[in-house]
Amino acid sequence: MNHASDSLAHHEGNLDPVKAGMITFLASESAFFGTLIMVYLFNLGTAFEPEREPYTPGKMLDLPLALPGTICLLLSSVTVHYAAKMLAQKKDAAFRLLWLATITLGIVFLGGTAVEWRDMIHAGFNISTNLFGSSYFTLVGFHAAHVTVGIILLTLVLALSRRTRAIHRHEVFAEVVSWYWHFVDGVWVVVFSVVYVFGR
Amino acid sequence: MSGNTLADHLAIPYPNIGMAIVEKQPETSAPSATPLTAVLHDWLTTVDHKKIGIMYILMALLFLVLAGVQALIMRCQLWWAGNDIVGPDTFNQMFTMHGTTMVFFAGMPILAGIANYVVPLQLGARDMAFPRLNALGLWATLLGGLLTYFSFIAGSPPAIGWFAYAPLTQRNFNMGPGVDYWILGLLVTGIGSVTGAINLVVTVVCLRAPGMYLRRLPLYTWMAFWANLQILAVLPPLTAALIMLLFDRTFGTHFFKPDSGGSAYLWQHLFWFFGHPEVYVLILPAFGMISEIIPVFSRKVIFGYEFVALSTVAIAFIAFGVWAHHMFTVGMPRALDMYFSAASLLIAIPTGVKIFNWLATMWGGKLWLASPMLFVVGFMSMFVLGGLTGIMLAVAPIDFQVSDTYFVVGHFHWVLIGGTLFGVFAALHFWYPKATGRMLNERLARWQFWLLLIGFFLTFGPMHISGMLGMPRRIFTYPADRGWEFWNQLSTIGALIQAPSYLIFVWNVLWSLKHGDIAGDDPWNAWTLEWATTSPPPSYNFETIPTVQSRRPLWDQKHPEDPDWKHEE
Amino acid sequence: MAGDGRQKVEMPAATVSPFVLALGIVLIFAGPVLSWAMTATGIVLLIVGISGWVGQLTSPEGQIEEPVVAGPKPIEGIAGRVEALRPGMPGYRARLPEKMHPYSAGLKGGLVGGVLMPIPALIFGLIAYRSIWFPVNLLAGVVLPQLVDETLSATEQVAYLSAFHPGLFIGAVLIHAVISASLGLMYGVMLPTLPGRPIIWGGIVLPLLWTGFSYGFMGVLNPILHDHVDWPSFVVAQFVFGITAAIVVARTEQIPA
Repeated sequence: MNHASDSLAHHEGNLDPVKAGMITFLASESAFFGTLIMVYLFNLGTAFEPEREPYTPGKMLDLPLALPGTICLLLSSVTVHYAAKMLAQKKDAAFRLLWLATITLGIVFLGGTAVEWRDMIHAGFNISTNLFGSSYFTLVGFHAAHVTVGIILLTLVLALSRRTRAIHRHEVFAEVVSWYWHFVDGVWVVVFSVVYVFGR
Repeated sequence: MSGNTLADHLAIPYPNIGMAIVEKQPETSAPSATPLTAVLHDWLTTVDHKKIGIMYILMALLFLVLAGVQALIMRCQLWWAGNDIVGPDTFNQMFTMHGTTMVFFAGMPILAGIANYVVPLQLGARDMAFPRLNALGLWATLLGGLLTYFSFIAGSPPAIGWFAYAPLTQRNFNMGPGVDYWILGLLVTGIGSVTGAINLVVTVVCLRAPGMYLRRLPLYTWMAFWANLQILAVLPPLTAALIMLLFDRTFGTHFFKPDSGGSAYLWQHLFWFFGHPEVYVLILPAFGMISEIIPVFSRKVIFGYEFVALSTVAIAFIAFGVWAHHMFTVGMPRALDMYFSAASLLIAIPTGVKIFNWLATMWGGKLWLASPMLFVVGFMSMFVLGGLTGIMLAVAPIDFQVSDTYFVVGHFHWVLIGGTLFGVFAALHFWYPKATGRMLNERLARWQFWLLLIGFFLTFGPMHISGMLGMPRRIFTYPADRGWEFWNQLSTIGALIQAPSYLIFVWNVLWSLKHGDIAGDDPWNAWTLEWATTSPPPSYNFETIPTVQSRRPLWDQKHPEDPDWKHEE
Repeated sequence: MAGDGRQKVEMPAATVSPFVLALGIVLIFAGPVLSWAMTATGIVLLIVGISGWVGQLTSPEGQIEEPVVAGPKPIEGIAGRVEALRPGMPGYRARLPEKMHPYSAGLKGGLVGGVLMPIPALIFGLIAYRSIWFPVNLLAGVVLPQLVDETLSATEQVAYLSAFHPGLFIGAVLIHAVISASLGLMYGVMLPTLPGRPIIWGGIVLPLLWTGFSYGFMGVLNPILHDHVDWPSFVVAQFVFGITAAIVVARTEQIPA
């Protein structure tokens, strides 16, 4: 991504290229997750024999275990929103605090997933156990990977904000990173409802 | 609409083209010869959209030749019934790599390359929105191709067809690493395609010259824009499917293993959900090139700009709802068969709108059959024929009969070569002078065109017949008593006629680089912004960003007494 | 496009970072088939590439000033060389009528045709079923597919259809008037745009087209009519309409379009 794009041409329209880039990228990301979710639903509908199968969504998924992480992630969407707002208002300290809170909540969510997975793997349930395992670990795993990337991006923005004036248009990058975070959060809402709520 | 106010009605439009050689630069090269390493370094590190575009095109031509060689090997194998020059395994590898290469490493890159070169110029921009991301797209596409081809060195290219039907792709059927290379190579190339598509879409949205509203976009840019939107929508699902396949092979997951609950049917849906819009990714930019070239070489404004533009949108949207017409013989529910049949037939309507608009543009125009227009005429006639067999195949009962026969092979080569390839050659002949400052040799271009047309006709025409006689696709040989031998031999002869046409093109490109006629800024007397700068353009394209008042900014400047903006809106 | 006198244009500088990053990606992906050491190397290259990239974005080195070179030749006007296509010019495509009939002409033609058209049908009714109401009732079947109780025998059906029914009569007249008037309107608009003599188009070609269409689709649109229609008189009626309407339309004064 390039901060010089404003010198490359006149913009017919008011959209910043970096923002437009993030929107298009997120659109393609939703196609990616849409596919994974469709596959999960497809497999959910066709392939399970709950009576004979020891590893089913009903037996393996624990709603109370997944709920705290989910709440953290939802909360982080709120903090990142206000962080971006603070940045726009040039309130650097508040921005940094809320941004750090977002990162922390993201890490807590990942920790929750790690605990959940450790229990599952201890119980003999992993990605190659059966079709449900394949679908579940792939979908949730890719989401977790996106959360990880999001945490790295958030950290980068925070690190670079130390030399705020050094990075041109810092606010724009912070804002698009917050969009990415919202997106990852939104995906989790869908994944959570599909996997933990309706799919059980 | 400036319906009829067109036509430079008098005189030859371009005094300095064709026979007349205006001036020749001395043939000794530049004063200070740059060492090869410096040149390589320059190209490796460039973020200039024009150089990146050229590299995309060169990459595509390289892979086009490789895939062409694979095609020739297959054609030679099929010359006689019971032939065994290459065994079944090699044959399977050949058609797998041929299809994969043509789609991912030749077709998409050449279109990405032309779009990279032309779109910023047509928009009046100095570069793409993200110049560095642009370079990343190129290198990822190229390295992904090389990774896939590394399977030849590793000893076992994939033998799964370009659609990689499950469960043939599983380890117990394909034990070598070929399939893994195929998956991983496509994943890397996919990263390149998606970043390239994001870049192009953002460029069109954000970097238009002042006054270039969306309704004034040049049609090529418009259609490249929609093709790239499609890439954004369908490449990620392919990526997801490929990752699941990779997990099946690497981590023992069960997505596409029917014996442990997975579904081979699901793979087909996922693949074709990508695979069918993909053919529109390959054809829409060609439609755009055609829409750009026809008006210039008919000396008329495009007929029905709005209809050509909107039919593109219609095609792009309908294209998402037709994928399962590749799966009629899988045994889908009757209702799905009917839906996908009807939706596929529906696409013929916006496509027909385009064809008629092009014809109406040519009608009454002052046609100039220079090489770009020659390829356009080839495109129009051949693409319509291929479209007609497409309509046949969209009808499920017909598809039941000829699915997986050579009829299908004939059909899609007819649209991909008769459509995309002819369009691309038209575009390369059209924009070569802009990129190099020299004209391509007309004589060689004509040889190329006629050899290609005749060879193409002879290669793929007989395939329709052998297909209707029941010859299945993907067989490495066939028994002698089926009456297929004659048609296969015709196809092989056709392929041998086609082959030199590509070499002529490569030779023309190289020869004209030094010896072609000097092109000048605007050799075709055209109307879009790329012709308003020098040939080749400076690294910054436009010293001053141009301002636009109509769909044909250069027309306005050339005809101040009758500018387009008086007629538009 | 004259330059604004600037000497340099700021452009992004060349950088090897995208290539390094792409190389990193491909090595990461090569890991599963070649060696995980590849993936490790790839991750290192990935980090190097991204750092270099961020460096380009955050330091002035990411930009260079490209010197302005000689620009394009100014685009000259090509005066006096545009000529609009006009009627009569070779290659002029549109055959839009320069003159057209007033809409009333089409309406009039349709209604006159509509009055004359039933004559063959009524004659047929009289001869075949001794009732002029038979064809009238049949026509009403366009909108009333359940016209006849299908449990009745064939002769009872014929008897029913031969009698006078006020409702069906009004329906039939309305249908007939609407269809005749719409076709007449189409004649008024279309005939001047078609090349050659209007009477050929309106009297022969168009009736042939819709008669063929009726023949094919009658079973769907009006099954009763389909079962009982007498094709010769039906066809004659269509031509009577076509010829009359075409003559009436063609004889009307044309006004400038």
